[in-house]
Formats: sequence, C-alpha cells, structure tokens
Amino acid sequence: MATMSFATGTSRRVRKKSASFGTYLAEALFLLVCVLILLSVTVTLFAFSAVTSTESQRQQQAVNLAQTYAERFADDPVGMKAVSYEDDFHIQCDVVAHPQNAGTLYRAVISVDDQAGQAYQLTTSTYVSERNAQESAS
Amino acid sequence: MSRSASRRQATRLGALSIFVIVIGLCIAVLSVLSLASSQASARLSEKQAESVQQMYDLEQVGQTFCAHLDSWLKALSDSGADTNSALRVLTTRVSDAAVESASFVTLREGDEIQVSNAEVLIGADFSTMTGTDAGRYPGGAFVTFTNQAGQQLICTVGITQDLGYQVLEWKMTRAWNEDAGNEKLWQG
Repeated sequence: MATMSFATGTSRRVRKKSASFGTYLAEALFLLVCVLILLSVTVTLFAFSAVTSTESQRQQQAVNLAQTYAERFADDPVGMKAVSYEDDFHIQCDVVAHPQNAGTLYRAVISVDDQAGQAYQLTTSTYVSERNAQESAS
Repeated sequence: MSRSASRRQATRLGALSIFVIVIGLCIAVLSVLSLASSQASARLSEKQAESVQQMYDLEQVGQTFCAHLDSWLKALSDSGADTNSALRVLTTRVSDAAVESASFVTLREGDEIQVSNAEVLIGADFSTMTGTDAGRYPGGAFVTFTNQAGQQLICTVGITQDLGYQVLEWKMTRAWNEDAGNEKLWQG
C-alpha cells in the first residue's frame, strides 16, 4: 500500500513537472515567434528609414551643389565649364545665349547626377549688358 | 515546497517575458521614431529643392526684366532721346516690361509670378527714396515680383544720365503671411 502511494505521488510529480515544462516551452515558443515578428517589422522599418535618409541627404547635397554652380554662372556665364565632377556627383551645365538688343541673356540648365541618376536640376538666367561689360572691362 | 518552487519557476519565465516585451517595445518605438525622422528629413529636402528652384525662377524673371529695360534704354538712346523724355517713356512701359518678363520664364505647372509696385520715379523722388545722388541717377525703376509660395524679388534699378542702368537693390525675401497657419515653426 505504501509502495503504491509512493508510486502515485511520484507520477503526479512527474506529470506536474512535464505540464510545467510544456507551459514553459509553449510560452517560450510564443515569445520567440513574437520577437521574430517584431524584429522583422522593425528591421524593415529601420531599413526603409535608412534608405529615405540617404535619399534626402543625396538630394540636399545635389541642391547645394546646383546652387553653388548657379552662383558661379551668375558671376561668369561665359566661363562656365560644361561638365564638372564634385564628390560623387557629375554636374552638367548647359548654357544657351539669347542675344538681346543691348546685351546677352544667358540661360543655364544645371543638372546634378550621380550613379543612381538625376538628383536635381536647376534653371537660371543672367543678363550681361554690353555697355556694363565694356565699362567694367575698361 | 514543490508548489512554491513551481510558482517561482513560472514567475521567472514571466519576468523574462516582460523583459523581452519591454525590449521589443523599445525597439518598436525607436524604429517608428527613426521612420518619422527620416520622413521629415525627406519632406524638408523636397521643400528645399522646390524653394531653390522657385527662387531661381524669380532670378530669371528679374534678369529678363533687366534685359528688357536695357533694350528699351538702348533704343531710346539710339533714337536720340534725352534722359528726361526717356524716363517719361519708361514710366508708361515699366509695368508692361515687368509683366512681359514674368511671362517669359517657363514655370512649373501651378506656379505663377505676379508683378507689383512696378513704377518709375524721376528726379528728387527717386534720390530721396533710394538715398542716391540725383546727378548720377536722374531716375529709376522699382519692381517687385512675387511667386505663389510668397517669395519676393525686390528690384531697384537706377537709370544713369547716358541712359544706362545700374542695379541698386536686388533683394530676395519672403512676404510674411500672418494667416498661414501651416507655417508655424514652433507651437509651445
């Protein structure tokens, strides 16, 4: 009788232990699945925001470069280089002269490109009066 | 004893779960913040790109205005007109020149440049207004170009005795719009 009750107590303990381990395992697996889902979502979000940040940084750099070249063009429209390279950017400046009665109106299309394609394009103009140019030359 | 031990075991797992959940929430919040920040940065760079092009559109209009003005001054000079009569002729034409310049530039769809305060002042009126020597500049033209975004180019051109021109003021600014609620930079 004593042996029987001992055996029953042991099997109850074993059953309890295995039930507890089962709960533990289920909870751990559920947690693991949740963590994996969360990680996949957050990694995607991080990657997306990194790409967006890089893209906006690239555009800001391109805008700044285009502005720099536009100011150079305003200073000397005739002496602008058609193609220049700066950092990872390729800057193309197409200048067209429109002769007027008393001078020339220059129009420039400044394109800033990189390996991914065109980052920014800026159009500007500057007028050079013949009389003012002669005065400043003399 | 065995009951309390199993309870302790369950509590340990719960603490681990809470820890992982807190870490997970932190990562989720950080990723959302990072996304919001990058989106804001992208919007800012878009706005900057747009604003720079709009500014150079105004520059183009201003330069075209100078070209028109110079052409007319040369034509008047070639026809032998004296300074005063040339300035009187310009008084009637400056507004047309400004409007023509604004329409000469190809703008993006939906953008429009408006002309305001286009006028020519002669003699003391001009020198008092600009603080210049009336002997050097017997008159001059004022014009303001404004685009849809509220950016303005304020242009003052002095006309010389020999019917040449000199740019006295070339100011790129932005009109203050008190009613624009979406322009609030900070609301504490």
